Amino acid sequence: MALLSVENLSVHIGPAHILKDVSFSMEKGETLGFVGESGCGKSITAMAIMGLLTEQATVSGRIVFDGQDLLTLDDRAMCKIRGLRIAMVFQEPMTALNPVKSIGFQIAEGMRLHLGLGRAEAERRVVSLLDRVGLPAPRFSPDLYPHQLSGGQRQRVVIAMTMACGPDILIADEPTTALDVTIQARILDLIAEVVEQDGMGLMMITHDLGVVAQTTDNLAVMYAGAMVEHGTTQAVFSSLSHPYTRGLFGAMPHLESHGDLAPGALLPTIPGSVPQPSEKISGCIFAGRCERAQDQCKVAPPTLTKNDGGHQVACFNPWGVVA
Amino acid sequence: MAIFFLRRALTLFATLVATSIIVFLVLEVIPGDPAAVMLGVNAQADTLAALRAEMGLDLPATERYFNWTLGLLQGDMGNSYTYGVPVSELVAERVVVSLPLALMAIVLSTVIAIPVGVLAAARHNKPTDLGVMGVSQIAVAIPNFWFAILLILLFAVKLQWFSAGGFAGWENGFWGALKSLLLPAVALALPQAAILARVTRSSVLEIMGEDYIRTARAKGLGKSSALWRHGVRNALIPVITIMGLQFSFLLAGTIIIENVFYLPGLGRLIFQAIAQRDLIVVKDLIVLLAGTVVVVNFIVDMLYAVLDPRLRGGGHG
Amino acid sequence: MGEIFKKGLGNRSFVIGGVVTIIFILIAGISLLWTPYPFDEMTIASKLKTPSGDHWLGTDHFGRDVFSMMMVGARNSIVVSLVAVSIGAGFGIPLGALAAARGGWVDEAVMRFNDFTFAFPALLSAVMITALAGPGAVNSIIAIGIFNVPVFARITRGAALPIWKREYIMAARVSGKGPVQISIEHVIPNIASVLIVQATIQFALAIIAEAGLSYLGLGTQPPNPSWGKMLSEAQTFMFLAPHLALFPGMAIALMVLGLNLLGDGLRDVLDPRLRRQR
Repeated sequence: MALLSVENLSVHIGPAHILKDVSFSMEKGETLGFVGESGCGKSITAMAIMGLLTEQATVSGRIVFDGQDLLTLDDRAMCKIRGLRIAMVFQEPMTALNPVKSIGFQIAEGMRLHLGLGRAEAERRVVSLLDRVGLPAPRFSPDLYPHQLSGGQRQRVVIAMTMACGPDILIADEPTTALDVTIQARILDLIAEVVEQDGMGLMMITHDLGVVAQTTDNLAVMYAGAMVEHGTTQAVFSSLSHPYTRGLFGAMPHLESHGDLAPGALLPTIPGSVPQPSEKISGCIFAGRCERAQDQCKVAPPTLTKNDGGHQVACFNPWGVVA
Repeated sequence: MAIFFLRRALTLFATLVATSIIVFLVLEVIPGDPAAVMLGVNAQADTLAALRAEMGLDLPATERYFNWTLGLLQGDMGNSYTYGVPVSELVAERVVVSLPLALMAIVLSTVIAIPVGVLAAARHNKPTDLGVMGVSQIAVAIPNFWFAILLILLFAVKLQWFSAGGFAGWENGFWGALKSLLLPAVALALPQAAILARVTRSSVLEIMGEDYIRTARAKGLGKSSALWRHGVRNALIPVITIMGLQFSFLLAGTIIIENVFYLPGLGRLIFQAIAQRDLIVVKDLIVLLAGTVVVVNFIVDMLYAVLDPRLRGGGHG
Repeated sequence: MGEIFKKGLGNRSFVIGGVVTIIFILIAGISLLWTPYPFDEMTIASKLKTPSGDHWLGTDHFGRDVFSMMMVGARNSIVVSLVAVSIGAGFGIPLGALAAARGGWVDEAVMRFNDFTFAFPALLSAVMITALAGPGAVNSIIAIGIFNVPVFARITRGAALPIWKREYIMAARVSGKGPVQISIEHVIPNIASVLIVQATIQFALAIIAEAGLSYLGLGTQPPNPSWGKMLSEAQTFMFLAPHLALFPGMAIALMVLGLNLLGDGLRDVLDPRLRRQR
């Protein structure tokens, strides 16, 4: 049985339909990437799993984790899951840490809360955690404060915090977007290493296809609150079945596919723009911008179906299918 | 950390000196002849001369200034002209009224305002919150001396639970004296509490939206746990700023409130000294009060460094 | 300008505050031309009367009509506060702008000056001034005005500093404009909304300060009526005529409330980003 199974997850905030009937599952130790542009719903999915959505959100569907539907749990029960079984790294390392508490305190906090460790034991583990994330003693002591660390270093502290209780799944929401390019690679390496060593599942949320290529075995593509493609990273990358995926890939500056473009030529873009969450669209959500749109696309939204390549696409007329 | 403290201490000293100079200038030098001011237009020549001699007005201004400040540091504030007793005696007599009053007001306003502010933030945009905002909006508009009069009207005139003014005196029993300070303290505390509650509320609201609260929640802390463990210290910082600023308004408040309730405190003393044009007393008291404000601001600054490690120096490694 | 007004009409605080403020200003204005009775007319026979058809708010211990006195009191309060705040703004804003424009030691000097005038709240400086010059409306204007200078200086400086970092300022400097010109042409218009909001707040504070000074006898002198003085007289007659203590206080509270609401509304309308709830 899958460790995490999300079934027909829908989220409404006021009139806006933010997440549209999203379903996927994760096995133990699986690395799953979530890509899409800003606002496509990838972060909302993560927040829904963590139970940290705003109070004004209405959620329907099921999120089954280790046999339990998380959506039926009250906040106190969710608190026992957060940090202990599912942990999360956010995008902004500069503001993610409390400026008035030491990093040692903040890393130990989860352990003392969930594992009931005493001060001495927690302190010892903090030191070894710091070492594992590349902040070794004596240069980096648990008594340091966040303002004494750089952005990359703070993100390492956050990663240490998430590892502390040995969770089953780590959700990383754009963990490197706010960091320098040179630091990005190192943090991604760290995440990949940690995830593998501890056998954690990883949900890597990003808009950067390069990040996904580096860190994930499986990939889901989100567009305007719906999941449009889902399969192994390799399969998705090589087939680019959904027209949106293909457009996304094409829009990224990429030596292999664009190396033969003449100098001065423009990068291909997807015409049109993302629909507003409150817009009601019958039919496929991407149909308005799709070059392969057919009549049936405007009638009812396609669901994720397995195609020949072995992965799932939500499209009536995907690439790679002989029409 | 030490450097921070030293710099602040130096600023404190400089400000105290500047304050004393300004007070001296305004009250002794600018009027030209302080003795004439004190005695008024119809003064007789020999009384004038006597006063001048007593005040040492024949000495140059700078020398007088140093004599005065050195005296202050030693606790010698000269003699009051109208009362004929050393000013320090007067101050000692009055401070036992004003200080407890001010303290009571601070305690009252803090104890009411901070929990109310936190509550309002926790129930943001719900009726409790709107109620708190509305009441505080009105409370801020009410002049504290009018509120004092209303309190007297209700509790002293109508209900007769308290006297309409006057101080029972510490020697006549602790509780009696405290009772006569209660209504004044409440009157003083009201506008302060209103402002403090609003600042607390907005500070907590801001903290609630901070990323590190989200991180704490993601670690598994409950909503109020996250707020208390991580938010309080951060939220206190602006609150303490306001409390520091409030202090000077509190002092001004005691001047009025002591007059409303006929309390023999420092505020009343200043007022009477002006009425009697006793410049010596006025000078000393103003420097004393202004100096207290400066010292309090200094303490607030120091408190910041305790609360916020970012201020202790040491950039990122 | 017109669209700001329209936006204002949609904002509750702005409307209520504006209406209240205008009412008081109107009352004050009307008092120049007409009051039900001459404010200083003493009719001892009808002293300490409760509100009635003849005397809408009753009479005081000298038989003077309370309503008329309050109208003139409104005028005095408004004038004193307005002038005091104008003095504060008139000196404070240029100081603050200068500090932001010049930086360096000028900035330091202005900040020190600020810090240390904060040690003298309005009442304390009024006390000093009246110790020398004697009580009166003019001196309370000066005292309250002096306290307003550092407030405006601090706000102006705080608001102007980030403006100086913006690119169009850089462009202006490069084109050779001096700091004074830049301040006048670019900086002040951009921070105008902050200053206007602060001015309404200071106006409200000045009303309270003036009332306090008058209560102590240091402000507007008799026979000119002022709300504060009326309150202090009412206190003497508290046991005989409690109603006298109600009206002047309510007037002060209402006027201040109106101004505060107006300030809040203005803040919302002029720049929603300013909404730091106080």
